[in-house]
Amino acid sequence: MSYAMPGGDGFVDVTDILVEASIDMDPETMILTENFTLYDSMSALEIGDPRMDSGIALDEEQRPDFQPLAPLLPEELCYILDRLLACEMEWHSGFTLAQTVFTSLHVHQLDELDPDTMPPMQHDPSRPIELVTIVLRAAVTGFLKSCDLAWRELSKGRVQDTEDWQSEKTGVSLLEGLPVGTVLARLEDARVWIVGHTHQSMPWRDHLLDRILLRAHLIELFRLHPIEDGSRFQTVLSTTTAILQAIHNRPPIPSPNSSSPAVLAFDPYITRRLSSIMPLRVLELPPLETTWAALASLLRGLSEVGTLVGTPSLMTWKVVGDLRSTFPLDGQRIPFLRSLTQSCFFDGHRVLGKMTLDWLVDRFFLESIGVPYHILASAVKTRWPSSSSPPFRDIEQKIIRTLIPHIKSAWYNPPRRRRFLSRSLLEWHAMYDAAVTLVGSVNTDDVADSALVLAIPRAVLLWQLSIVREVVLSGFAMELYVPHERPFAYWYASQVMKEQLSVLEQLESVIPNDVVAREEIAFDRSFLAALEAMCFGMFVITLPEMSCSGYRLSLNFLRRYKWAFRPEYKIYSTPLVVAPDLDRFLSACADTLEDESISPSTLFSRAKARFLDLGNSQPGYGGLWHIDRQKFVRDLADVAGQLALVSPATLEDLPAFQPSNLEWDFTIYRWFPISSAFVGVLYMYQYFCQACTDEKSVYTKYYM
Amino acid sequence: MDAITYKAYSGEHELPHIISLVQSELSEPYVIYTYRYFLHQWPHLSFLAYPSPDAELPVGVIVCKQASHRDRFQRGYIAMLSVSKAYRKRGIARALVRHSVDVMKAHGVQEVYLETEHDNAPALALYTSLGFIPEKRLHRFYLNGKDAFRLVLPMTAGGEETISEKPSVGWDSAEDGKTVWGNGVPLVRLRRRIAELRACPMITVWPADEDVDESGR
Ligand SMILES: CC(C)(COP(=O)(O)OP(=O)(O)OC[C@H]1O[C@@H](n2cnc3c(N)ncnc32)[C@H](O)[C@@H]1OP(=O)(O)O)[C@@H](O)C(=O)NCCC(=O)NCCS
Repeated sequence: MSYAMPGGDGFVDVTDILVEASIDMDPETMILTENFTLYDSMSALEIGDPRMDSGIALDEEQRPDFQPLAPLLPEELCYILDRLLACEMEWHSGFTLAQTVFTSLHVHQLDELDPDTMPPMQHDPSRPIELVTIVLRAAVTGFLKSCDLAWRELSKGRVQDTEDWQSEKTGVSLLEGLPVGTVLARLEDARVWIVGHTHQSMPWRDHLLDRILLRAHLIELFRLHPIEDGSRFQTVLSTTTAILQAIHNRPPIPSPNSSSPAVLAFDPYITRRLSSIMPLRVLELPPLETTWAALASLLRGLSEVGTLVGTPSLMTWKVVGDLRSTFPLDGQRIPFLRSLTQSCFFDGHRVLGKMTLDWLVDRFFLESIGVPYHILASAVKTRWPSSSSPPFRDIEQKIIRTLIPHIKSAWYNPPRRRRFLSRSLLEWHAMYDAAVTLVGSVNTDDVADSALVLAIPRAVLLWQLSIVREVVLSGFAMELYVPHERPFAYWYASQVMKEQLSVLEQLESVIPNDVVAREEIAFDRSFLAALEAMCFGMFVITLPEMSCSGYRLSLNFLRRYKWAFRPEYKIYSTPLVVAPDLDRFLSACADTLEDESISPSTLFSRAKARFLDLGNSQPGYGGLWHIDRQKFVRDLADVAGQLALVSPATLEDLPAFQPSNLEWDFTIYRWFPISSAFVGVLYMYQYFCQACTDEKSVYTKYYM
Repeated sequence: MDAITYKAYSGEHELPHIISLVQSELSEPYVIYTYRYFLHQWPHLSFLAYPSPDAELPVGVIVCKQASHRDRFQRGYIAMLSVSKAYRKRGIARALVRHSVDVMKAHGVQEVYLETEHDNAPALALYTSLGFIPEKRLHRFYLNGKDAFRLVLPMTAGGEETISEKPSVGWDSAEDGKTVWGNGVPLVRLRRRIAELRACPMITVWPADEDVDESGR
């Protein structure tokens, strides 16, 4: 690297001043400002460090001065537009604006493209200047506006800045003040200008036209509200999808050579010159194919949002949320979609744009146990012993306060969701305690009566237990457990599911026959029974992994399940149901090892059979997502089948069982390891699928 | 071969060596002030490994800090750990971590934590073998978009064990000193192992930590 004195005549070399000032300091001394943090130190500017010292001119940055008005061939313009889209999609995927959107140099000199203030230029018929002043200008304007509109959604606080997405604009404008109407008008001018040409007068005319149309539609999509503008949103969405398909069907655009003004229109090193707080590395943009696929996923994700907002069912939202956070679809978990979905579910006033908060309470009971809330409430009221009215409002408030963030959390990033869920368990417990206390005061005369009243806390408990299960099992998907923690986690999950099953059993008599909730509960019962067997089987085969001291086991246990040991639980008179308990676990280990009738492989085959039975289940609240849910269940049946084949048949065989037969890779089955014997088969299968889909369009490929 | 020698950090003259050991492993190098932030404030928590007592160039380094966590307890942090390629897999990193953790423990630390890339298998294997657990996954923690694990080694004030303790009975020891299981651990030993764990004194209280979501950075 050679360093030159940059900046030209206006700069003075101040090295001497610094040298002189530092004479009084020893090399070993360091002067820290008060409250100097690690973060301060990491973002400190190191003079001479080329990553942040923008004064240094680097060889790789030596490039001809950027000419914003350099005339372009139509195919060069197409190349620029595609790169802009690639930058935009990379920003959506979580990189900074400085590394992506702002590497477009036209962004920084957009004003110079104004046809009204343009200097006179020589006319080159193959490179009409209007391509720059009308078409490119409109496209860059539209590109920035799209980012601005997405930025507004992202900044609502539903996804995490600097984690899910990067808000930092480094002082560069996203045309926040420019009305969308003006932007669309510029794009319309560009469209009109392009259609004024024939294929002969302008090669690549249709390529260009598609791209301008695509941009105009994307702006609309970012602007429209999936609920308020429902039908328009759907129309624009399908047109956008068709345009994308058309672009994809056209022959590819040739890549310009490295001296083309189209290539020089992007400067990946610009991050050094923008005022960023951290040194940022140069980001390599992915191949164009990836960008089209990312956009296709975004559109499919928007389509799912559109369908979901038209589905006013709490349980369906729960089913979809659980599915999507456990098995994220490629590209459909981008922060913009996750934020938008949350905004649509609850905008601060209404649920799904129109329902009041009480709707949540009604649906909570109706969909969990099939009984309308007013029936439960009147059952309590008529048996209420005192003249004051029962404290319904308190429970209702708790349900509302807890449910809204709960549903939204399925669209947080997975680690955050898990942390949120484990913290929320305290609130669920408060709700459960309030419900138990309420029904404890009721005079119930007979069994049928009390079953109805007791259904209130039981409905709460069902949700609470399913969250505990989610917290425990998602720990596997996130690869959190070290080997000695696995037996407990699987055993505990199985205990939680056993409890869920017994609560469902207790609810049996109150659930009406002909309600959707019954279908859903039937699904749940089979699913839980299968999953419970599977987790218990995993507990047994991982038992030999308990190779740590009791001291370490207990310390790590307390840390891992700290959500259950919060002192706040003590203020409730109702104990936590199925609290994690190391003593109980160890006695379960001892009992299990004495029980010669246990056969791990049978547990897994039983689980497999049960999962397969679910293939004929009714959709319940799965709705349109029932197919996805069935696929999820089939995958579980697969892994259960694999585990049945490699697991010991009896306890006596357990010590000889090789854990290396299992691949602790949770990327495939999320909650379970995969049998090594099948890894090869699986990779071959994936390779085969890949080879097949490569032939087809990206659309099918990324839908798998 | 000479015995590896471990020495506490002794001054700025070691900084260039530390930087070169650490820098080679990072996708996003730190500015020099990041090193100084740690080394100047907690020099006693950083150790270097030398191939022989009088070698000049270190082959391994660990850099740490210790601070009060929400005014409730002392917490140690491992900021950097690196062993030069030619010297890996000889237990140097394990020894460096032990040195730092021992000093932190003597200074009343109740837990030690660190972050590492979610796919850094050697580091994960090292730390988990020392008793650390990945407490949290941190979404897109690094600027390159990778997730991290926050690994934690919980300790009690004045806890007995040294880190990385192994069970005293129940497992066969292979020649390389590793505990093994699978083939050859009969069921009775598994039962005995559980019985032994049940008889162990367990830690039953853990300082409350209402871990309101730190941004994780
Ligand atoms: C991680 C690192 C420090 C390990 O250094 P090391 O001196 O080779 O480690 P040790 O010899 O002390 O190994 C101790 C244990 O770590 C694990 N381990 C170390 N290297 C491993 C590897 N390549 N694969 C699997 N496990 C490994 C093993 O469990 C090992 O115990 P064992 O030898 O009894 O099996 C070294 O690989 C390194 O410098 N990596 C790059 C920097 C880095 O990733 N730092 C950590 C981020 S905080």
